[in-house]
Amino acid sequence: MPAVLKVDGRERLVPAAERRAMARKRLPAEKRRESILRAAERCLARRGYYSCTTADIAAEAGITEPILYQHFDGKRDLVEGMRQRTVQDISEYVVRRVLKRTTQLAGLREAAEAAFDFTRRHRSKMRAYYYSIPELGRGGFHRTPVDRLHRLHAAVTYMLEEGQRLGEVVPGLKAEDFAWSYIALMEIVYIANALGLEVPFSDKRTYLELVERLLCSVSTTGEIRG
Amino acid sequence: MPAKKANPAKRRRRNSRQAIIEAALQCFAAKNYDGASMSDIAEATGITKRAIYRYFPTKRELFYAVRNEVYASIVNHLWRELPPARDFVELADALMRAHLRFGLENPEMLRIVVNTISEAATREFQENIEALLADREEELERLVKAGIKEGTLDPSLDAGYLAWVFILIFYFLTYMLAFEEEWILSRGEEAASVILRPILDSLAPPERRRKPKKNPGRP
Repeated sequence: MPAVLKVDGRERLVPAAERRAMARKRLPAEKRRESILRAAERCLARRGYYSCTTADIAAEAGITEPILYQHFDGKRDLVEGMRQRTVQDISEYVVRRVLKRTTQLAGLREAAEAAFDFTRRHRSKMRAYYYSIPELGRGGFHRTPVDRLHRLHAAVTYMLEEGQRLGEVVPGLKAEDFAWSYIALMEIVYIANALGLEVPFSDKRTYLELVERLLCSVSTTGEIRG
Repeated sequence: MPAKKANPAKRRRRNSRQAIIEAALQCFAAKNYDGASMSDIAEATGITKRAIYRYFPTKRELFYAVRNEVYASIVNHLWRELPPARDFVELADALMRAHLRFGLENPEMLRIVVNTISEAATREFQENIEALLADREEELERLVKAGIKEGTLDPSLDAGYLAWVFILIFYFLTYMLAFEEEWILSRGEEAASVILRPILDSLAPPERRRKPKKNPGRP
């Protein structure tokens, strides 16, 4: 399959054979690793965990399998690397947007909106992430998704407690528990996109209205400022 | 996944479709879709592989049968064990708690639900699961509409949208359980109420919503 590539500053169609030749060029280890992870993402998003072999991923990256094994111990190691990269991408994106907000509740609202935008924009990434989950329970392979939830929970709890300290959030609230309600509402867009549910999760306005309702219900002023 | 040792003759008599599905459920839950071979399933059922192929031409079809069975069990259980509820809030709470209780008692069923996601890569499966969920969505939408009518939910809310939100929160709880997330395991079915109550509270009509308490220590 030819692809449009920029060669010598000009865009042109590059046939598959030539692309493979380019891919076989020696790359620094880090760049090669990155290109394999990207290939794994595309492959998993398209075919799911089971039907996607290391040979498929190598072919997608335009390399041979032995080269893939120089960078990763196997499919599990590779998929784990892919998941960690996805988690890092999401959190970097969400944190960058949250930091633009001046209050804790506005930050939480922004986080939900950012998560929505990210999952809509990177659907194949999210699909690949969720398709890799069935490896559950095989020697703790599922730690990445759990660790992500725990880090998210710690961050949300911190923001709510900070909000209580600053008088934005009602003092009687048990931040730790409420954080799970908020996360449940936040995670549904991830699941909707993993399942490929179009309707109604293309409707951001209604989704954000629900998030706002939840956050306003614990705001001392009944609204979100900042 | 150790196969249950039993008298082979006795086993053979049970080589019904149902016995295969039950054995396959355990195998898929223990070894996942790719890890569980038809030979494993045949051994666990106590019949030959050929006998399985008489009922299920492919492993995929057997998996679909297992999955449909699991979804049906989850849904049947939800409605069977339901305590009487006065309004939508109590009903939704009871549904989520029943779901969590069932998940805690049947972890292998949850593994199947989560496994199905990986099969969602194929278009065929996608249509399949959308149909499964669409049935639930209709059911829930009816309940949400009743909740709006009785005044426990804000009439300005979109009932169809809310039905999907509840379905996906079900999934979220399923994931947390399948991950063996510590908080949810330690709280048990109470976790369902902890998660759901604030959300339901925020969906109440304005006049019924709890007024936030002002912090007396601050201006």
